[in-house]
Amino acid sequence: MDKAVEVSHLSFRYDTDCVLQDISFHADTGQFFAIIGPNGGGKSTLLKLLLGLLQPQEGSIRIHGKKPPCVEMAYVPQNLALDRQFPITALEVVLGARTRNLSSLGRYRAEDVDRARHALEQTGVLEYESDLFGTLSGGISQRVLVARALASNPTILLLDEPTSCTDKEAESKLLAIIDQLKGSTTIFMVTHHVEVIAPFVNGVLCVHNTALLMDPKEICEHTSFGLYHAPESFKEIP
Amino acid sequence: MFWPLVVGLLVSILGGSIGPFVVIRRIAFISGSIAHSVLAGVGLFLYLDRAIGLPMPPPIYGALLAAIVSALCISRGQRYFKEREDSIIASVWAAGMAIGIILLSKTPGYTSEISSILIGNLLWVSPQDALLLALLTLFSLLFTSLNFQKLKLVLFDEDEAFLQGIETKRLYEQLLILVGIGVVALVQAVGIVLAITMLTIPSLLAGLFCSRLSTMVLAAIVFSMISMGCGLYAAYLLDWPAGASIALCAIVIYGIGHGIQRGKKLGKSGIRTHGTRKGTRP
Repeated sequence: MDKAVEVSHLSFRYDTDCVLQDISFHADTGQFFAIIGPNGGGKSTLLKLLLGLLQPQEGSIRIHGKKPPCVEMAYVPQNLALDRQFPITALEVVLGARTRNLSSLGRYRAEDVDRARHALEQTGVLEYESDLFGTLSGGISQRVLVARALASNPTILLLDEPTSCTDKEAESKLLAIIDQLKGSTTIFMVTHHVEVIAPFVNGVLCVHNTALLMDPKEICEHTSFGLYHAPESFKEIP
Repeated sequence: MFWPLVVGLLVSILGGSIGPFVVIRRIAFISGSIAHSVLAGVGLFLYLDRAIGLPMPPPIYGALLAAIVSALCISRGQRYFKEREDSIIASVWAAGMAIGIILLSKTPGYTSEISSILIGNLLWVSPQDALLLALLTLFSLLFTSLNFQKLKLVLFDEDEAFLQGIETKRLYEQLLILVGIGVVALVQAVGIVLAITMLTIPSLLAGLFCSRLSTMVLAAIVFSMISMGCGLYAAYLLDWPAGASIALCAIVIYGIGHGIQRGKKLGKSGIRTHGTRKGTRP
């Protein structure tokens, strides 16, 4: 099978603070991985490295054999990271994913608007297309951001805690949408709810400065407890 | 009164088309820094002209040069030196003012120019000033309309803009240069001290009534024009300084706008649910 993502001996540090050290893993096309780990463990940094927003100091990342950034990638950021007061509607947010396709006069084409509306329909939030993004609830705005990611027809999808501010119902709806993409799209999803997501995924990447790839069958309620509440002496073991 | 009105109209279009980007990106402090640092360019051109005897174009060109250099210093400083943003802005602000003051102190007979730069000279503008402003306005409108969607994406979500292949740092730098150009235009109308007011107040007012960035730009232009018109009329009628009158009118109109919005909110009854008020601000 084609290797969609290949990471080998990746290390990254902010100034002197080493966040990720000697990480290696790969994902085949269509696989779905959960990324778990405590705050400050390097999950979001790993996503930013995969996207090409940060450059690794050591090691390499290959997306379909090429160095990131890659046009086939889409990213769903943490909802809270965006300015809720920004004057932008849900449809305009989704159209952002079609900016690569702007006309020479800097306008969106009719087909881009159709694709954006279709993506909103896919995630079940088309009725909110004219609403201001900042007025939408956490769950709805998260689905708008997923729609934006889908609007660019990605082959690799990265999601950063998409269920952090959603209720159980919104979470299960989001997982159902993502589950439909499995098989055609390679997905990495940062989450703290590993027990919920375990039945859907092909693997669980535990990130805490280093990374350990686990089989979802090995995941139980004690896994996250052990990972998030590990004694300091255990954490220091390389 | 013809040329002041023409310049006032052009300044309104230029300031109103840039102001909303300044307000939503929250870079009013950067605009203040650029506005004050133009004193260095004015001082340099006057010094070379009067003290050294080198024939120089009018000081407004020096202001334009200083505004562009300041915008570049701020954006490059943020990018390469990774200093705290506010430290770089404050340094450019102080350096521009200090260089300007030193150069002007060594320049004989600068009083009339410096007062017009500090408090504006809208009532004494020439057709040449209007021509320069017309060119700057045209350039600004072309740039913002061609790059509108890209600018919106960069300001809303820089990471997504990067994934869309936009050179985010370069576009942001170009926006800062455009802010510099807008500031120079406003310096002509209301002076250094009040330029930041005219760049932000009409856009803040537009933000109260508009839910989309595109309509916010149009509304900011209209509110700028109203402020300019009322300010010029007040200055003519009461013999007030034109720049201060315009800025004061803008603030009064902003206060009235706030009052209207507050009245509307208080007038509404019932519990509002998320996502049910289409196209309105929270």
